Amino acid sequence: MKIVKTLIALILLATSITSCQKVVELKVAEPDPQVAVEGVLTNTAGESYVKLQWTKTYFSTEAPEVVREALVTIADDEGNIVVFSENLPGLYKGPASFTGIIGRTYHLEIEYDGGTLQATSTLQDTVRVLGLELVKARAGDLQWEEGYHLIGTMANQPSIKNYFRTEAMINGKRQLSTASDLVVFDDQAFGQGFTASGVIAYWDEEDETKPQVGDTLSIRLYTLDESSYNFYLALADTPMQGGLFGKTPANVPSNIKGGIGLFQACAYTLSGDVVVTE
Amino acid sequence: MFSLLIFLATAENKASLSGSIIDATTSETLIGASVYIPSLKIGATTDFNGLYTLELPAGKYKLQVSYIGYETKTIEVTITGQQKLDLELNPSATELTEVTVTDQIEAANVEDLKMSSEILTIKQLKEIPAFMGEVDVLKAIQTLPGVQSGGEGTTGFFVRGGAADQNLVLLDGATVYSPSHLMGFFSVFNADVLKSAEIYKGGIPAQYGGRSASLLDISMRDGDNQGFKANGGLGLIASRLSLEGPIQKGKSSFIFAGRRTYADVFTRLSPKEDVKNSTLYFYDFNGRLNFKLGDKDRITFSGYYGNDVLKNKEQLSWKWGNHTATLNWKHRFSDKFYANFSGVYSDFNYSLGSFSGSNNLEWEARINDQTLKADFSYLPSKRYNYKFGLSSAHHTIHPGFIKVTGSDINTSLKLETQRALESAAYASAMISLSDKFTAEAGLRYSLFQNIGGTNNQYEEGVPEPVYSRAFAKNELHDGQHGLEPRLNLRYLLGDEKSIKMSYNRMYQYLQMASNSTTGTPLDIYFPASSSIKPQLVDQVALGYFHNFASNRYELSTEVYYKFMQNQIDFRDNANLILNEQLEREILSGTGEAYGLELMLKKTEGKLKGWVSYTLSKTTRTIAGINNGDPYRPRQDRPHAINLVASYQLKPRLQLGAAFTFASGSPISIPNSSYEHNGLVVPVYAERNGYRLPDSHRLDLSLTLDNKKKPGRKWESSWNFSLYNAYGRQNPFTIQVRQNADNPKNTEAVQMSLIGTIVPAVTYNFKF
Repeated sequence: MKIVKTLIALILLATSITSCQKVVELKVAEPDPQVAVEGVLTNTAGESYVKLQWTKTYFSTEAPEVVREALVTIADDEGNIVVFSENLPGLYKGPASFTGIIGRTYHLEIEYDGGTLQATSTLQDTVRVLGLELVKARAGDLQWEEGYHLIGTMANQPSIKNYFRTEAMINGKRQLSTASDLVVFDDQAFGQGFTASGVIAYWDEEDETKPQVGDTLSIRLYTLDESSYNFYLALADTPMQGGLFGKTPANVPSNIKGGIGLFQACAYTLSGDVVVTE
Repeated sequence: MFSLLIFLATAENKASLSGSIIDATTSETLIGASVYIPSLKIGATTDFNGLYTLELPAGKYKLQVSYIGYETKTIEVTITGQQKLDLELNPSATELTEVTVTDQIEAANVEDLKMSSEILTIKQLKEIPAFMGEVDVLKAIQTLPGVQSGGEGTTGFFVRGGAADQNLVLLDGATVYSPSHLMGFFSVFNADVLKSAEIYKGGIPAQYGGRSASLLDISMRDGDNQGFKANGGLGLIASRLSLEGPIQKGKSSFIFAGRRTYADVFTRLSPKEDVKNSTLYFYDFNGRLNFKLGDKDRITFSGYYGNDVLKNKEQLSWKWGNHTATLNWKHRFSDKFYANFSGVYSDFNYSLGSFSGSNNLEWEARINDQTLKADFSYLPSKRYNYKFGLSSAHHTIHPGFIKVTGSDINTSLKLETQRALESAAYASAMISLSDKFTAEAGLRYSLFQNIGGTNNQYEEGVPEPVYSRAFAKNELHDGQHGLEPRLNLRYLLGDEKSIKMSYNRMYQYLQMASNSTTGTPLDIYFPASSSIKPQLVDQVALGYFHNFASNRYELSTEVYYKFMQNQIDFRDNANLILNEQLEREILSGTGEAYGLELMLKKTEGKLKGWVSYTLSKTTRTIAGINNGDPYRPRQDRPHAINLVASYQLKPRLQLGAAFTFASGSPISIPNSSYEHNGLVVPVYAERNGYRLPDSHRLDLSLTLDNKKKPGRKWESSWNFSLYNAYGRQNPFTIQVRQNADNPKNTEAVQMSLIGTIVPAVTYNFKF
């Protein structure tokens, strides 16, 4: 992704005298809305939820309509069944004590006025974050692009095929506003080794959300199953789709039978905190 | 049909006239020049070697010799038996252009058996306004009906609904895999060394194969064997110089040429740090040596070497280049039997390096071919013309060596080198069944074999191959083959009218899959194998050709239908980086294309040029893409209009204009969306369901020849050009994105690579 972005920057540079960009209004066909699922099941009590909403026209600025009064249940492969009830409009939550158990496979079933949706996901074991570092690079730095680079070092479990996603946090607040912020990788990042380092987040000097002196930085390291990994990998590609060197646009692969979206069982570990000192 | 035509070939005992037609000033052979005997209403055109043959009764005749851009010559000849006559033509002086019209211009457009093809001479190419003043054969062919551009900044062109990799681009017989410099803004062909370019959109002769949509056959000049000459140009973005002359006067010659862009010289002067640290240039060299060994043999050696370099200080480097070499020996066994032997080398390689932060990435890939060819022509009489030959090409594909290194990461992947042998044998017969009806039937047999390597078979959902077999290093295996019939028919409806029909079947064993909208140098070539079947394309075309006003106007009307099998595309969200099982990401299906092409050409006079219109449609149907429903590939642009004109304002002043209009390319735009984790997830109702706005552009050029001083060889001219004269912002892409200020909202952004008027001036000289 980084390479493609740099290539684009170079091409635009090469054609900077002649090229131009502008925001345009498009008229696209309005399809029938579908139910989209955002189901999250974690290894932390009280964090699991299922959000149900209707898809909306792509360029619509209105909030999506939610799916009310659905019957949402999650069953595990041990035969336990938990009902998720509507906590807020369109948001379904399980009992406060509900915690996902590593190694179990969870089956989501949703009945709503109009149909039934199903999905399955397995909660993978976590791996550790070994270290976190913030690098501030100045203009002219030969190794680093100018700006702030948050670098995490992670451990791997070579015996298992693992898939990962990381989220950067500033003062406990998740730094995820567009799909470009997603960091998704698999075992290949580790090569033959047991540890890997990578840039979890980057802010340039003009970025208003860049870390300030006194801020506390941390990361969450999620382990995903394959279908969740494929979903995030494709979602991370969407900002580049259709542009110079961008991938051919395609729908993000869903694991929801009868609908779209993602039901993910994902466990996570937290890094230690890094306080910005200068 | 083929055997029937051979059976019909009975010997005739008549006189014959054969020889070559050359440029009187440079001794360059002329391709497509014509000899015509008005009293018999028979004629012939020179072939790619500049040779012609006429069968006629013994007698005394007036012979008319003509060629575009040359003074028509009429000579009297007495023919008794088998006679050889080499002819020379003088280039028409600019002042004489308007008076070269005679009422006997040959009606090649009507009489020629070929259809769906066009020869562009270098003189015509130079009359078309060019981007930054750089004469460009690839841009010129995109003004012909049925040939479409992929948009400014794309490397490919598309012929009759075919994909960019379905065009066979040959430079002196060598395949040029990536014929563009600087992302498609310039072609790799330096106009100063080119003799001509011929494109076949259909009716492709049996001699050619390997690509399923078109053939673009480009030949280099031999160089002047009479005296030393230099030719050059100084432009805003690039300069070029070519030198030519005799090695041994009258017998052998050389031509060498070089070009280099110097955009990077300007970027270094920029106050902006990132611009200053960027390097962007290309260079290329062409050369050809030509030796005439007596009357019967000619040996040429030619080559091309070119590279593009794009760098941003130490963080990124991207290089790619084509290299070709051709050794050719033409031998004339007799006036009726010729042979042409070639040894060809072709190479395309690219490398990409990204060195920044904790991740360094290096990627290298290349493809090269070594080819041997033997072509024979036998012309027993004016009514019969036979061609046959053999060829064999050894392909080596290095799909990628990828290395990722960093403080804690050190991984590399070398995708397995793939080798293959592509061989073919062909024969064709052209027979004039009557004064009006001529037919050419050909048959090509092609065979493609993988060499060594591993054959892996996969099953859906199983990560590892379910079957794997490693072959010995040079073991030939998994041969795929097929017969490719070709047929051309022409029926004359009078002196100035004809109808033509052609059919061709083409196999394509080497195919490129591209997973990006625009195509990148990282596109991957796949050889046919046990898991990837060769593309198979059948095309039928019908045409009506009508010349008016003593052949000064040529009207061509063609309709075609194409059915394409085993068309490949990557599955949705294919992962191409560090993927050892790339063939698993490929899906295949069928394609269809049909269309109508109209072209009206004015060949003589102060005002020359053509106007063309294309109405076309093409679709692909591939299980696993677009729910298995037919979808429009990027090259489906239903309407295209081109107008190319040159006008001689004054004897030394020429105006050129080119207008192009094309429907927008289909692209994918999401119809709806949903939120996930606060992020917007786009939902596409169909692949390429939205069409970009139409593209149109006007280019203008003005060429002023400086006054030639008596007694001095130095000649020069100024070329002023305006590319995109009315500053149209043609959309290159439209992308959707989350609004930076309010990520919950989405917007569409249109990008134009050339959104302004681009003026340029070039000073050309020769001495």
